Amino acid sequence: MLAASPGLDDDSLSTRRLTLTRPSVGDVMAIAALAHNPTVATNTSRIPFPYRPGDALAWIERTSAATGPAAAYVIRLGDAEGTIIGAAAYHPHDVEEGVEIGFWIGEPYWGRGYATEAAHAVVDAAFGRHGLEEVWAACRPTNEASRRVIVKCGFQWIGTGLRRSRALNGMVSVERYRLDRKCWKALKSWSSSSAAGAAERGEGQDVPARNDGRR
Amino acid sequence: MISNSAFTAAACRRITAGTVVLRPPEGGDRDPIIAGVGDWEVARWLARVPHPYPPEEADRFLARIAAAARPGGELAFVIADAAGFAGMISLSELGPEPELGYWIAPERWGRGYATAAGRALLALAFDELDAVAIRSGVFQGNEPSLAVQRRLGFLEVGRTPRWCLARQHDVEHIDTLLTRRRFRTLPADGAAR
Repeated sequence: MLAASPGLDDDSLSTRRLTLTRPSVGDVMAIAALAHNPTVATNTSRIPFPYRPGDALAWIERTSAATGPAAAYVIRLGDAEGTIIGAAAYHPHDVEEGVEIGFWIGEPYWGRGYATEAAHAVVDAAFGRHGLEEVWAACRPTNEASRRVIVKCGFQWIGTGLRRSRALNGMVSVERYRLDRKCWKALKSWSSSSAAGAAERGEGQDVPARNDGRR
Repeated sequence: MISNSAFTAAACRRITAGTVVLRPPEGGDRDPIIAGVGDWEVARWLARVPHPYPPEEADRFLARIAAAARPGGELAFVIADAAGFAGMISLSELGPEPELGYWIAPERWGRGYATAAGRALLALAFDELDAVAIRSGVFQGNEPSLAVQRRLGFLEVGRTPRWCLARQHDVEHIDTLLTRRRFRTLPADGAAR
C-alpha cells in the first residue's frame, strides 16, 4: 500500500510507482532543472523564480538540518535510483498545531497521479511517525490539480487565508485544508477493507464491484 | 542590486593571487591564447572552444571580452606568472550564480595556478559582486580540474551532458557548486574539508 516504510532504507518512502528519498547534494541540478518553472514556483509559497542550483542546495541544507516533525523528500520514479520528478515535504505549521505538507511535480510529469501518490506517502509518514493530531495543506484557488490531490488525501476545506509567495514577491490567497488523525485512520481502514483492498488480498467475491469511474 | 559599473570596475582590476597575477586581457595575449586553447589537450576539456582554433577567433574573443563585464555577461582575467601569460579564468552569466571557467597553458600545469587564481576570483565574486553561489564543473575524466574545484570547496551536484565544441559531441559534465555560505566556512588557506 502507500504506507511509509521506515527501516527499509533509512527513511525513504515507497509507493506503488514512486520512491521518496531524502535529497542529497548530488540531486541539486536535477531539482533545479524541474523547479525552475514559473507555474511550479507561483503555486508554492517557498520556491523562488528564477530558481537556481544554489536555491536547491540551500533547501537541502535547510531541510536536512531541520528538527522536530519535519522531513523533505525528492520524488523518484521507480526505485531509490530513479529519475527525480518533484519533491514533497512536511514541516511544522506556521500558526496551527501539527504539520503542513507541501509538494510539487515537474511539468513533464504532470497529469499521471504522481502528486497524489507522493502526498499519500508524506501524510502517512507525518501521522505515522510523530503522533500528530492534525496535518494541514494549502493551495491557491486557481490550482485545480493541487486541490484534487489534497481532497483525494481526505483533507477537509477549512477556509481561506493569505500566504506569502516568494516567486510572486507578495501575498496570495490560499484555500486551507485539514486532515485530523481520526479521519486519517478511518480512511486507512476504509481503503484496506474496500473492494480494491479485498481484491489485493484475494477476496472480493462477495463485495460489490468498485466504481472505477466508467458509467 | 549591484550596478553595472561594479562589473566594469572589477574587470579593470589587477589581483595578486599567490605566485600569479590576475589582470585584464590585452592585445598582446592573442598569440598565447591561440597557442593555449589551440592545444587539443586544453580544448577537449572546454565546452565552447572550436578545434582546430581559428586565429581570428582570438581577435573576436578579445574584442568581445573587453565589453562583456555586465549583468548576464562575462568577467575574464589573464593568469600571468613572472614569465608572462599562463592561462585564463572567467566568470560568465554574471548574476547571483555565475559560472567559473578556466584553463592553464600545458607547460604551466601542476603548479597550483588554477587553484590560486580560482580562490582570488571566488573572493572577488562573493565579496564584491553579490554572488550567492558559483557554478562550475568538469567534463568527465578531467581529474586534475575536478581536484582544483574540490580544493576550492565545490560540491558535486549533478551530471548533465554538455556539448563539447572541440569534440563535436555531448560529453558527460560533472556539475559543481560552491555557495557563499560554504566559501565563508572554509579555512583561511581555502583547503576544503
